[in-house]
Amino acid sequence: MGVSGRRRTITATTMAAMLLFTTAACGDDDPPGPTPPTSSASASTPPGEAEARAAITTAYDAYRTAYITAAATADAENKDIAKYTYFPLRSDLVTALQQAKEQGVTYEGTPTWKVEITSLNLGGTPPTAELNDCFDTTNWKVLRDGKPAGSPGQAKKFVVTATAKLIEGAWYIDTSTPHRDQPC
Amino acid sequence: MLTRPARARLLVSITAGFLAASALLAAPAAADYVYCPPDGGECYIVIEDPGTPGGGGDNPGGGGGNPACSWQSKPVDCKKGGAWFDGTSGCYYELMDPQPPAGDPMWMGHDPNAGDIYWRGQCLPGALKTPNFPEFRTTPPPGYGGGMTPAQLAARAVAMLPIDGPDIHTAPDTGGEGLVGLPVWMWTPTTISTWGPAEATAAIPGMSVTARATATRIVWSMGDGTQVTCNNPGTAYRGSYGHKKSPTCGHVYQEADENYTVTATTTWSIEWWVVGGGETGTLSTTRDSTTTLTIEEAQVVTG
Repeated sequence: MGVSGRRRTITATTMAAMLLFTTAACGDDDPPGPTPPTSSASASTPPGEAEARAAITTAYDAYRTAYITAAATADAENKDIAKYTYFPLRSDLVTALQQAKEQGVTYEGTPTWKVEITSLNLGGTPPTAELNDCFDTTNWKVLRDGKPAGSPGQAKKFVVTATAKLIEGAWYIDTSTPHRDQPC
Repeated sequence: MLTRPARARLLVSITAGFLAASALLAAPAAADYVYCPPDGGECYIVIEDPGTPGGGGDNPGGGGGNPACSWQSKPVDCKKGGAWFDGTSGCYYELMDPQPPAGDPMWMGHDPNAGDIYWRGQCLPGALKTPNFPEFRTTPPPGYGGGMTPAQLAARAVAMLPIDGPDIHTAPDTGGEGLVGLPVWMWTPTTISTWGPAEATAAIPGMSVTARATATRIVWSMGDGTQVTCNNPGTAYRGSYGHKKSPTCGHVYQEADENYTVTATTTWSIEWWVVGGGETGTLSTTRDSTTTLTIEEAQVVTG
């Protein structure tokens, strides 16, 4: 996702001009940083939204990656889970990993996902976002004692909805709800 | 490791993650069930192992093995991940890090400067609270960070109990002289300190534990090798009873001795509980008292 990288204070009087400038000049005086805006960060995008969208997507990807890594060895101590997720999701994930360890269960392979931000409330207290993912577990297998342990007849590719919350300047995924009855 | 030769596969579809999580420990029945992880991973069959509370195989009895934590009189893990067990509620708590931002609904209207939000995660069967909720607290939950558990606080309360050995009374009494072959009566007046019930409460911020002690018996070591067990405080002697035997607690010496040492040991049965509900326990302790008796040969015994 595109990010304007523009973090300096923009006064109200210059905002419109700056937005036009951003569109026209594509931020050629931007400080070094992430990629300049693409079509998704258009002139109608309020300041900060593109950064927020990118940060939320990054947090979601990082949460997924952290959990996949942790689930591969049933490692409930994985530090990245706490870095990118928040309660109640964080507690749910750790509990799931503790149970996996007690049950002798690990996950092998990697799922794929395609997440979109469906709503963003930057003015909220705190700012929040809603996400919609098409989560594909086809190549992510649960094993017990090295043998496939998945219960029969379950959905492989389905909708996951999630929410994100901004806390102390960082976005966290705080809920993640699989809808196993909603294929995608 | 976790396989069982003939396992009953009762498949119960559980959609809510916390239900499965709370079924982890000390589930009442051996029911395997399909568990679907909260993040969307493949569902699998959870194999219940009621013989091993706290999970089987890889984690027998849990990490650490600190016996200080118990719930419904069974040992439980004091710490699971970043969460600590609270024996007053039966739930695990974790200080939320970072704290929710000011204005977040998780504060439930509380002032962020007045306390902290803890995440109440797993709750064991029989817990007094519901799992998976944020909880505002002005002090950490009991037991948090290795703090005092109910059992440890109970030990303090027990030490404070105003209980003692018997207030020994005998007939004949210590100053008098008994005779071989005649009944000796033993008793203690029943007061809070000799027979109970006696209570004491120990408290730390966020937790109080009350211990209640009740005497159940007194074992009288009579000094002649005899032990007399009385499940009562005995009966006070009166002159009008003459040479009758005590109806409840007595002894007859067969030999004379100027200095029988009598030791009376009271067994106290103690129950303790967290004030307001939570973990409970029982234990027993003893207290003793000593006196001396003089028994002389009977010179003349006449009807």
